[in-house]
Amino acid sequence: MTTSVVENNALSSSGDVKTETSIPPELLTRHPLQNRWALWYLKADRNKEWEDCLKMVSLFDTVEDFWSLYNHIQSAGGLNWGSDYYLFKEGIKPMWEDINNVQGGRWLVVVDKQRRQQLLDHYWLELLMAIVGEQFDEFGDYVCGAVVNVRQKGDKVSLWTRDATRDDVNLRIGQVLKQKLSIPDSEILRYEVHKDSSARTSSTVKPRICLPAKDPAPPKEKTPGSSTSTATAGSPTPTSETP
Amino acid sequence: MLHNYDVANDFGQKMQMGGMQQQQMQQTPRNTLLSVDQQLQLMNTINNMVRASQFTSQLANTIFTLCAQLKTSGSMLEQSHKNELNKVFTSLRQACCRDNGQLGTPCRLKIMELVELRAMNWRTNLAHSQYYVNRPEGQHDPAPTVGIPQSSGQSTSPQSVTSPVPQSPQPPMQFVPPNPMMFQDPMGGAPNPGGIFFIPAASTWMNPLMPMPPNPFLPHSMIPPDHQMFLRQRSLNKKPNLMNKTLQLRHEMIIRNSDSGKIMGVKGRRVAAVEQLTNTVISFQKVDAKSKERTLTITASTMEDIERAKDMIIDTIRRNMSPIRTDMSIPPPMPHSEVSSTTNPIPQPSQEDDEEDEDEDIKLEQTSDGKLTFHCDDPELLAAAQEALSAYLRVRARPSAEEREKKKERRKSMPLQQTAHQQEPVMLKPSKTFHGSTPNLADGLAATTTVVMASTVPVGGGHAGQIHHQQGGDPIRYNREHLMTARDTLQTQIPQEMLKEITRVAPDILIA
Repeated sequence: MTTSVVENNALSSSGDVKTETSIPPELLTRHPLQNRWALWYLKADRNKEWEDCLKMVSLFDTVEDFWSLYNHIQSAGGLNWGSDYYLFKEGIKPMWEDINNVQGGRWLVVVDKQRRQQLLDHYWLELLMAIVGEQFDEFGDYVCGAVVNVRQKGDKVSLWTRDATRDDVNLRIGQVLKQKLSIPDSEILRYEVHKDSSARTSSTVKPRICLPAKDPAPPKEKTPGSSTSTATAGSPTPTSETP
Repeated sequence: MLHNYDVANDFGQKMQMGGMQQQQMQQTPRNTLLSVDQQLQLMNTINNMVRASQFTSQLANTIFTLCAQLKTSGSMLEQSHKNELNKVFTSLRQACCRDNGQLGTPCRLKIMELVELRAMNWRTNLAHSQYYVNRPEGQHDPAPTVGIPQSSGQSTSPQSVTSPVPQSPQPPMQFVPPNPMMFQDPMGGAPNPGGIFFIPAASTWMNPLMPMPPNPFLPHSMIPPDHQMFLRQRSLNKKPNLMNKTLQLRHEMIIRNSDSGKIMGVKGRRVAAVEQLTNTVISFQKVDAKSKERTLTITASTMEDIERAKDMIIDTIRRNMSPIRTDMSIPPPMPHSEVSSTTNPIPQPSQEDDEEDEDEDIKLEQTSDGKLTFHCDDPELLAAAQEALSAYLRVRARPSAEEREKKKERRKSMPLQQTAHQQEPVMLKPSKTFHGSTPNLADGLAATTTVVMASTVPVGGGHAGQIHHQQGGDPIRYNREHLMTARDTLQTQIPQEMLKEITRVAPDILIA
């Protein structure tokens, strides 16, 4: 068996001798993200099918491009009624049917109608920063993307995750979300399974997880981490990643 | 009362009088109950004959026999042999669609009676039995109808098809006028036995004094002008208030249940449009969600309308065929040309190597010190893989001239280099590892997200062009402060390509 070890240095030099000199130093200032993200925009149009209204706006995988994009487009609060923004990992379509979402669900944050001015853009930006910055501990891979629905009857911000059956993962993700968005305990976050939402007959879906839990009894599938994090969930303490 | 009459009698006697050549049915008069096995055998015979398109009198007789049996045993079989029933009903429907009249009108009527009976859960009602008992189809039958008990002296003696008018203009309570369910082409005059099925609107033929529910099978529509002959007959019946009901052509088509949504469209708009355009009524059979098939009934007053509706439905299905799911590990092509040029090189070679990968011919490993290791039995393959990776990294590392210009611009006013150094510990800090509780998920992710990434962040003292293999390693994290600092210090000049793309796709969200 032949084994070839390609060392980092060796690779760059073997690939192109001039690489060393041709890499512009300014390239070093780019800050790559863990994932490449796609921003989608849904412009409400009753005359068109839902999918036809959905447009992929841009892809980015650096901090720089993230801000370029964010700073140059309308904030969520500035969108027309009925519009949506979606920020999903590259390759995941922002719909239930996508293979990455079909088993998944979402943490739903309902934006108080009276306080939409101050809350909507704050929630959306905090959520975006949390997902592109991989702030969900070791569970970043379970995150599919984020959605904001701008609606007259009440805006919604949600975080979509991949596997609705992993209560431990989703609970932790929910706790981080709650903390990042500084959502008080008085507001209950709900985790809804996509399958339930698509099969629903009424306007409400029975949530799989609530945060804080509605009943005092803790969730059945408790993880070692959840007991400590439940205690801190309400208070906006700095994250563990803080240097 | 009328509804107590066993219609099976009718056919039992007919059969005996008609003297048609039979097989086993000859020994078993239709009014005696056969065993379940015998009935299942009948069903089998029907299924086979319909499949073979043998629309013979034998098939007709078998159908008659089965119908007579099912009247009594239907509800029982519904419990015990639902599948068999479903099958034979499909066959019966197919027989109606395919035969060119060989089966004869009475047989078709029988089938319809049966279909309706089943739809009513095998519970007959007065209106239903009356309708069929008093049909004048006897004239088409080889054996004339006899033995239908009549409660009054006014019997329904055989009449010519062209004037199926009751003798008495004011029928008494129990009497229902015979009606011409099956016309021998009343417009053209050319006999077209069994070719076109005319169904009068339901209540037309019922005694007006008798309370009865409207027949759900039969929609009403406006009278086409060429049905005047029928109208004349209607007027003879002195029911001018029913003038707006008319003959209808009905056609059934079987679709895949999963296509229902396509045909209906959002909130049924599509099917409504088809109905409007073709002047038809399209109804969907109620089926279980798990059902594979679904029957559509298209009702219209002309055959052309039905055909047009059918074409539109078929076209709808064809044009909305679900795309064949491709391997999700290949990211969909992106409209962003600049981006795709950098991403393509890696998925392609790796895709080509996939087969080898599965055979364990080539192995990719990453060591903790950031080395990327290939193992392979074939040195050529190894070289190719290495070349592919190098090419990918080159492409990633070398931005377009335009982009380089822009970055130079950016650097001048940006102290981000420094920030980056401050972030180093954060980015290199071995954070919680992705433990192997979900290996499949991790693998899947590796396939969908970046496999190998050339990190341009200065790592370990700023070796330019160092390779940082992300898979399974620590994710690159930025917390809120980092991102906000980057936002403040960055001169956020939007890349030209991004601007172009947004302008093209969604100009309305762009802030000037």
